[in-house]
Amino acid sequence: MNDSIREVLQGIASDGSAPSDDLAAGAYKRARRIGRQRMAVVAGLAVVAVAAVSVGGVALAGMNDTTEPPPAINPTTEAPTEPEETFQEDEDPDEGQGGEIDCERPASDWSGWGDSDSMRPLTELPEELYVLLGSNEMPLMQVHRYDGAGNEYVIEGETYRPRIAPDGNRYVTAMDCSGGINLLDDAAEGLASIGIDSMYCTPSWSPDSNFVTITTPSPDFDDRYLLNLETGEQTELPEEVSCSPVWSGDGQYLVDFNVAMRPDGSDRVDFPAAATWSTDSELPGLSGVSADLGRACLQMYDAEYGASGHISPWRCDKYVDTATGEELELPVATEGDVHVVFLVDGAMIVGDQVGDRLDVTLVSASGSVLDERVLDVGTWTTAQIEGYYTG
Amino acid sequence: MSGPTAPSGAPPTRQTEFEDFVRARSGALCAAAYLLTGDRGLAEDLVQDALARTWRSWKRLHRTANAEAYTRRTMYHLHVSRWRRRKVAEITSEELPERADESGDESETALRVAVHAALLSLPANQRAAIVLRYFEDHTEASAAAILDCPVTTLRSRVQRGLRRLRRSFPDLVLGFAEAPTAAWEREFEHARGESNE
Repeated sequence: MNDSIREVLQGIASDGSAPSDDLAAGAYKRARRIGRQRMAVVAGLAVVAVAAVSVGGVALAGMNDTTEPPPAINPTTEAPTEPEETFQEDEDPDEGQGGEIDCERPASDWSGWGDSDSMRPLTELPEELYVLLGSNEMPLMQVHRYDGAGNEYVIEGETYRPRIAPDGNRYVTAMDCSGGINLLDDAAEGLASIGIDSMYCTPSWSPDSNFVTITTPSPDFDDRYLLNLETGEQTELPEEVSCSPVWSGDGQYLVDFNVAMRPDGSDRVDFPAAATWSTDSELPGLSGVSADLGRACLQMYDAEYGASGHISPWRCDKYVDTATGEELELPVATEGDVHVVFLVDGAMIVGDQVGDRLDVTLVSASGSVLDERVLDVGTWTTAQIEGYYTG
Repeated sequence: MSGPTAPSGAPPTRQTEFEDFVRARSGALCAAAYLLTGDRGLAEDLVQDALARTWRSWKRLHRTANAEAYTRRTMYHLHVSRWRRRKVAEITSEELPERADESGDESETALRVAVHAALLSLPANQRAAIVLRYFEDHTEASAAAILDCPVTTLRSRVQRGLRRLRRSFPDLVLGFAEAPTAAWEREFEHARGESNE
C-alpha cells in the first residue's frame, strides 16, 4: 500500500461533502439562538449584580471576619515571554483539557487600577510611541516601543494577540481562556486567566485607556462586556456595538460600521452615509472615527487581508465625511499603507508605511502639521500606532 | 416547505449574498467537517454553527473570499473548543478496525474507514492540523493562522499526529518538503535573538 494520505483523506471527505439540508436556514436559526442566549446571559448577570450588591451591603453591615475569595489576579509582566515549546514525546499540552472549561471574567470584586490619566491634547509627538507590528503571512505580532534611542519589542504576539492601550502601559493578551490584562511598568498586579476572544471580536481600548471591550470566547453564545480598568466595574454592551467597536477620538462613543452610541446605548447616531458604505462591495469596515463623529476612516478589501479570515480593520484606505459619504483628502500627502489615530481634540496622528519606513505626522484639528518622525519598521508588513498618549 | 428565514430587518441583498455563498461553499466546508467529526450529521452541525457566526458578521465580511476564510477559521475553532468543553468519546487506537486483506474497491474502502478511525482517535487539535495540511493543502503558516497558533506549535501537532497514524499505517505516504523560511520568520528570530542577548 503506497497511497498518499492526501488521496485517502480526499476519498474519505467525498463521503461527507454533500450536505443533506439547507444549511443557510439552519445558520439563520442558530444565529438567532446565539442572540437570544446572549440576551439571557446579560439579563442573568444583571440579576446577579443586583443580588451581589444586596449581599455585599449585608456583609458590610455585619461583620468584617469574612474572607473574600481572591480576585483573579496573578503577578505578571516580568519581561516579554515566549510561548512555551517544551513538548515531550506523545505529550500534548492541549490534551488533558477535557471536561467543562468555562472562560472566566475578571473577579467581580476587583477594584481596578485607577485613572490612567493619559489622554490629553498633543502639541508634539510624544517621545515614546508604541507600534503593533505584524505580518501578512501569519498572525505574528509584536508591540515595539520607539523612542529617541531606537526601538525594542515589549510584547510578543502570535497566539497572544497583544493590544496595547493608548497610554502605552496597559495591554491585553488574547488567548482563549488564558488571556490577560497587564501593565508594562509592572506597577500593579495584572489580571490573568481571563477569557478574551482573539478571533471573532478582538479587544478595543478606549482613548483614555480606562476601558476595554472584551468578548469571552465560547462556542455557544457571545458574552461581551466593557471592563472599566479604573474601577474594575463590568457593564454589558449594546448589541450593535459590542464586537470590536471603534472608539470615537474622545472616547465618548462606540461605533460599529454605521451606527454610534455611548457605551450605555444612549445618544444613538446613525451615519447618513451608511447606505453608500454598505453597498460598496470593496468595503470590509470602519477603522477610525473622529471625536465629533464627522469624519471616519474605512479599510477596503484586499486579497491578503481577506484570506486571513481576520476582520478587524485598521488601515485608512478612504477618509470620508460621515454625513455625506464624500471622500476627503488627508491633511498630509501619503503614499503607502495609511493608519490614522483620531485624537481627543480633533487632531490626528497619520502613519504612512512605505517599505521599511513608517512616517508619523501629528496634524492639528485645523490641519497644520505640528510634528513629524520617521520610524524604522524593518520587514514587518503592517504597522499600527497604538500607544501615543505616553510620557 | 418554507425557505430560509432571515432575521427580521436583514436587507434582502445581504441575505441573497449569504445564501449564494452557502450554496457555493457548503460542500467543501462539509467535506472538511466530516473529516474532523467522523459523522455527517455532526459535520453539518459544525458547518451550520460556523455559518451562523458568519451570518452574524456578514455586514463586516461582505466579500465571499473573506467570508470563506472566516467561516473556515470559525469551524476549526468551534471544533477544537467543543472537544475541550466536552470530552468527546474519542475512538482509541485499540478500537481501530482490522486492516483488511481484501483487494480492489473493498480494500480501498476498508483503508479509508481505518484511516478515518485513526484520524478520529487523535486529539482535536492534531486532527485539525493534519486536515488543514494534508486535505486542505494549506502551508504551515496558513494553517497556523487558521488555528491561531505559532507555526512551531502547528508543526509539532502535525508531527505528533502523523507519528500516531504511522504506527497503524506504516505504508501511507506521509510528509512534506519543508517550506523555506519566510521573511517574517527571519525577522522574528532576529528580534528574539536580540532580546535574548
